[in-house]
Amino acid sequence: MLDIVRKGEVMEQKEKLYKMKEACKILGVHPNTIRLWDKQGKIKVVRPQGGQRRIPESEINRLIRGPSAVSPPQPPIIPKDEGLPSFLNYVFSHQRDDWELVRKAVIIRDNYTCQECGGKDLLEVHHKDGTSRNDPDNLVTLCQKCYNLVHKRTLKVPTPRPSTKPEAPTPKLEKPAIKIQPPPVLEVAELPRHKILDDLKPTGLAQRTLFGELLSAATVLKNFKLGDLAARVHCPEAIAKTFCERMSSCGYLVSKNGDFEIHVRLAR
Amino acid sequence: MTTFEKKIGRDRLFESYIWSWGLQEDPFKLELPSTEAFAPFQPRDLRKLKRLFTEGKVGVLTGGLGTGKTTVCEFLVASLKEENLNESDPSKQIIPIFIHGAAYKSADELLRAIILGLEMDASKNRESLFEFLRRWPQEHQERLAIIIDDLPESGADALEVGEFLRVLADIPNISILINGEFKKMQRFLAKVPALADRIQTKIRLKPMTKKNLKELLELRLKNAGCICYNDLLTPNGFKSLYKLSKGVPRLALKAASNAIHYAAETDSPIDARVVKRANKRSILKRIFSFLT
Repeated sequence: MLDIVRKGEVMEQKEKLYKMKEACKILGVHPNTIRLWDKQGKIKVVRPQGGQRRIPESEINRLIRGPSAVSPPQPPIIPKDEGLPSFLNYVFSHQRDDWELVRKAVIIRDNYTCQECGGKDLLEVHHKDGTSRNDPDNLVTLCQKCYNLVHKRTLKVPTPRPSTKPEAPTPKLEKPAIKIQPPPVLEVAELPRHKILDDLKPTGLAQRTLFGELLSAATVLKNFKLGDLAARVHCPEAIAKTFCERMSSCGYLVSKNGDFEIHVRLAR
Repeated sequence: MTTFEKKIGRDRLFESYIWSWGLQEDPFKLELPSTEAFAPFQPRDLRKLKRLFTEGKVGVLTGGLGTGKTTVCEFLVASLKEENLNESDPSKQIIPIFIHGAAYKSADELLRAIILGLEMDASKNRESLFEFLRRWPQEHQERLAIIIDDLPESGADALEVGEFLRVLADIPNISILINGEFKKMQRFLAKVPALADRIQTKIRLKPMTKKNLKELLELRLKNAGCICYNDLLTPNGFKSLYKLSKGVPRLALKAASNAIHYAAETDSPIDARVVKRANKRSILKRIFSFLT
């Protein structure tokens, strides 16, 4: 303690000592940050007789010159034209948990354009499968209006359009070795029967009514195998298969190891 | 084990009895388990009904209580659906819509039921819905078969519903089949002469013959998985069932169901004694049986 005090006196003679408030103002950080850096030994502070922290001018200059010495790693500078693929690759491979960065990367990838209507205002990034999985193929840029529509399930989620610049295609991403994903939270939309059947695009009225029966059976069964569904409606498995394929492509049915699970509720 | 099974217990006697005959459950349930279990009767009349749907006409199906009017309608709907699966040409497809008429109280509700039967949006106003049906022959190649069960039993105004059906009947490619108890149907049609005038086919279902009833009971047993059905339902047991039901299929099925439960208790096949014991009738009923 005595040493520090003495050291502080010596330093005071040589250079200026800044108070916490002044140092925070210069460095643009919170006092707690400086306290933390001190605790971690990232900066040298002196404590004169009062015991309060004083930051030497040399330390402040060092921090201003090279912020990486103490500050947490800064997000990479977003390049505009050059190195876009490598930037996207970096973000999707190593920074998937940083939602803000991933969001920006997806918007840049989609050329600041809504992939449904082509609008450029109030852009949002949407998870296509309803989970919080930040995979590049699961994310798409939408404007606020389309985003709301997709969340009401009245619009099918579009696939990302190819970039207008052919020299900057979406990079192939390498998956992280071990990644713990949160359990998927799937959205269950509530739609009237006729809307669901419209989305399935039946070829005729006979198929439409048959799809209607299959939909009722699927709603009752909830989790089912193809054979069970066909047996319940007394129809050939081929038709039940067509129904399941179309339901899956619309996102109303999820397939797991040959079992199907319905992900839509019939509105009453 | 459920609380009911803990306190009351399961009917193990009946379960083991039907298992011993290769059955899973009571084969004589009233509802039609599948089209396979439908016993053909009055084939000429049923052919007429089928023709009605291809020609876009109005037909009436009547008959006494329990003679199988609803079952015939259900069979027709199921067979039309089955034919649609094998027919790729839409102009040869007939889309059946089965409506339980007794549940609807007005023509508006009937119209919405028809639209819902087609899996369309029925929340629009009445005019647009009717317009959809009016433009049916222009917009659709398929034929539409509207089958309304127990129409005279509905609480709706007969004139309103009758006029609505008359207008529908005038649209090409739409056929209508209404069914109901004979006397009630007569009263209903008397109120709507315009509809009665358009009726092309009138079918009245009669009680089954001995041969048809035997076929029905055997089909039910066969369909439920029973192999030795002649041993389970003995000839004198069948005779007794026929005598009791007078050929009315619903009565026969009810009596046979009672008999199989009684047979399980005595562990014997369904013979005349079992049928009589299972369907005990009061003396008055037995004496005045000719009145029913």
